[in-house]
Amino acid sequence: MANELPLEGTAPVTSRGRGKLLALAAGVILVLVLAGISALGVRQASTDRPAVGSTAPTFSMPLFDGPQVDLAALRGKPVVINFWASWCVPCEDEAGDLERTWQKYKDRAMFLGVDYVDTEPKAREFLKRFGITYPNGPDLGSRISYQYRIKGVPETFVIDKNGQVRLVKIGPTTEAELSATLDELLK
Amino acid sequence: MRKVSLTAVLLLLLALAGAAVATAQGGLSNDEIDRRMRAITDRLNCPLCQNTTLTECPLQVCDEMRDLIRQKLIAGENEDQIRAYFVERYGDRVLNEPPKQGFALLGWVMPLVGIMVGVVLLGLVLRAMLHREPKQSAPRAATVAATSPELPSEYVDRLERDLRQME
Repeated sequence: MANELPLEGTAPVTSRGRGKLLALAAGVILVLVLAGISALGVRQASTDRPAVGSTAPTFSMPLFDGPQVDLAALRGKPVVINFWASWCVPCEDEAGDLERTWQKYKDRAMFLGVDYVDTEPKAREFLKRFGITYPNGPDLGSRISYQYRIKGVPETFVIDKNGQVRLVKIGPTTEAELSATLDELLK
Repeated sequence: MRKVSLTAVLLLLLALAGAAVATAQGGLSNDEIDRRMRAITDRLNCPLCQNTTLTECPLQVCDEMRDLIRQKLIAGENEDQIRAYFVERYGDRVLNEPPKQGFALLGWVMPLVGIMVGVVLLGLVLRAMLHREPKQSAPRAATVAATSPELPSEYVDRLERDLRQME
């Protein structure tokens, strides 16, 4: 038994085993990294839009004519946030209603127009054409639209004095709809 | 002679008008503005459509964006300034290549990591294949002798004889 042949090729088998182990480890790491990246993407994409009763995301926005506006600083009175664009035809339909409602409630509520994916000259033209006087500003980097997960323009959110969303309107809103919501919030 | 003078005056007026237009356009000719505009719009995406460049997009807002780029070029802004303006206004999604910072940096790094991992895996596979090769190509008798130096010589001789017969 002492003269038993040694196991031929022991060393190469071990090296091959190590190679396989390394390849497996590299593959597992790659899969984990890719899974992490896609999970992050899915998490970002699946965040819900603010629903009625939820807290409205806060934001700061520069105004076309004036300083920066901060939503958090407006707590204490209802806020109407309207997403619009100069190229959006239904936005033209609601522009007059929004301005009329603003004129009616401007002492008791705040209106903010968020201009989504637009060019500034055309946005200014639109505001002038419809005589809009409440504060408006560009949605820089589309960050506010992303926070509110808007599906398109126009969209309107009404927020109560405590920062809770009270109305989500997809599509053009009306003076009657906004007045009814604001009257309820101002009771 | 009078006709020649009139033609010369007209040509001179045309040249002056051309020079005035070029001066009003920041010293750039229309062709140069078109060329620069195309270079910018080819590298920017429509913020509303997916994977459509600003050059190709038929939306009204993209038409307005192309106009804005033209105005900015005439005002003397360069490509970097205009791209920075578009990123500030519409976000990173207007860039048709990911920015080289933040999370988007992964878009540049991951293909390289993928290639590197692929090269390493290929190396490991090749190495494993090469390790197997000497066993098959080396003479069997030599293998027996080399790997079993402590065997009795008559046993090795017999084994080598048998192996030669098998070959």
